[in-house]
Amino acid sequence: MTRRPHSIILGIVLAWLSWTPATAADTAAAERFITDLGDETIEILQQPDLTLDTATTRFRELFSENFDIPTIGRFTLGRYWRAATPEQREEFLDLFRELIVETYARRFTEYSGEGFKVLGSRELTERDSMVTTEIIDADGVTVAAIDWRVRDRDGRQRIIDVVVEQISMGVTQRSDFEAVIQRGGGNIEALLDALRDQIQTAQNES
Amino acid sequence: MVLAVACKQFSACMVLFGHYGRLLRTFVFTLVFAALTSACASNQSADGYDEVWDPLEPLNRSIFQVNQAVDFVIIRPIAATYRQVVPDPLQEMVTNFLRNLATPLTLLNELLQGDWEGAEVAATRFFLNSTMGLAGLIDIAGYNNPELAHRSEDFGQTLAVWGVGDGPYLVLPLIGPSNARDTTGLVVDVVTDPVNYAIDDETFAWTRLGLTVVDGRARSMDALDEIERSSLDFYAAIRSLYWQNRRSEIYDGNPPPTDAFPEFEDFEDFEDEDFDEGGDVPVALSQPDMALVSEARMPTEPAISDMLILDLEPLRERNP
Repeated sequence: MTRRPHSIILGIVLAWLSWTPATAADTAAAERFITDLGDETIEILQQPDLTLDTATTRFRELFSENFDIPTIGRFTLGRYWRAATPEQREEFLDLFRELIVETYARRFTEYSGEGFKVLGSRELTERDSMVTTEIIDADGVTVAAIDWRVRDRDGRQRIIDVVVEQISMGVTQRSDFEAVIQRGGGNIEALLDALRDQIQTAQNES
Repeated sequence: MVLAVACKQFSACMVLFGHYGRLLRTFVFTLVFAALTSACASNQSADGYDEVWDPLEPLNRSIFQVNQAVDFVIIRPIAATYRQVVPDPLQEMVTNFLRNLATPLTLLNELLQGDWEGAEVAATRFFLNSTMGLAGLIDIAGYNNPELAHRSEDFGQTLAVWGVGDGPYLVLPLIGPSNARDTTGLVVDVVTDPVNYAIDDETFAWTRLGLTVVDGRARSMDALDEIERSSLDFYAAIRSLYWQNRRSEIYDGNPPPTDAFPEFEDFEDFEDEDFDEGGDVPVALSQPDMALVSEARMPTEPAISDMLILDLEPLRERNP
């Protein structure tokens, strides 16, 4: 299948135009964003009477607001995104968000005085910064190194990947999801079913 | 499967292999050959996604299941008990002790990799921790000193630094996730580990192996439980984790982020484009820059937005 020539030319022109004015990603803004988000999260965690229901609601809010879920979801679906119908994409994104919320909201209720330190940031691309943080326990001992990949879109910062000890959640989830689809004969419905099951399991656990 | 974490530097296999020298040599050569022939194979699939090459997946999955069963019945319970019974400071001493024993092998591989700074760190660590650190029980060198922090090198990483590719992903019986290159490395590690020559004692070797397994399993317990709980396909998640973890180790904790996997594409950009359904044929572009782009990572993604966001950024950073 050949592409229409005008779109190729347009692509070349646009590519050339965007080539020269390379602006640096605003790493300072990304750092501030992560600091604020971390403080806000800890404030929620410190509420003494935090129930699982409240935790789930608050976590869903934080997640939807500060993570670029469509971008992450599109990334984790990998090559199968293209094959999916608009309805399937929409349902996938809904299920994906719920999976994260149900899987991690429970962690919110297990808080025991952990804090975090923003160590610095570096530029990844023109729009992406990686903010390096450390999670420390109540005694100040480092528990984990977590990097946040933050993308600047029109001045708005949102997280597009979480890298725990050099392991990218996005990359891991993508291979996880792709394996489910492949084993389901390349059918995205296989993944949607598995996601529904998993969400159900997570809900039953709590 | 967890044992892989632990089994990077085990010594007891020396005992196992000792009697089968010739067989072992043949085995090593076969594996080295396998790893070398796989050197050219890249981990990138046709559409530019970095992923693990797993041609033996059905076999690997069966071995993975057996390993999981063995883990569930024997290794995990022992590690769980160890975690409960042994006081934390003592557990830390065991970790330090085992790491110190692995340091000569790390030193050897730092030298083979030409990483003189790393070699100096390893030598300093081994000297300080073996003496003032009471035979390695206390990590004096790395205490509050990130520059002398523990770092583990093995021959699999050395091969990678020399340019050998991963080769096919392998799940080894009992040992767990690996690949052709790292399996070769593991065998070479067993043969070259200086500690095995310095302390030629079977009981010591078995104790070290046993401790390494329990220590590694105990330390990875929370993380693995979490991954098992949150993943849909545990096998695939572990496969990805192994690959990412090794990559991180090979690059000494600083894997190149942008070229490693495709950019996260903006959702809206993707929505806006008019793409051909099922248009999987790469576009041949004569424009030199564009040709390079398409060669780099564009086989199935001819969208304009892709060219702009995905492909030009890495291109600019790449030094051909």
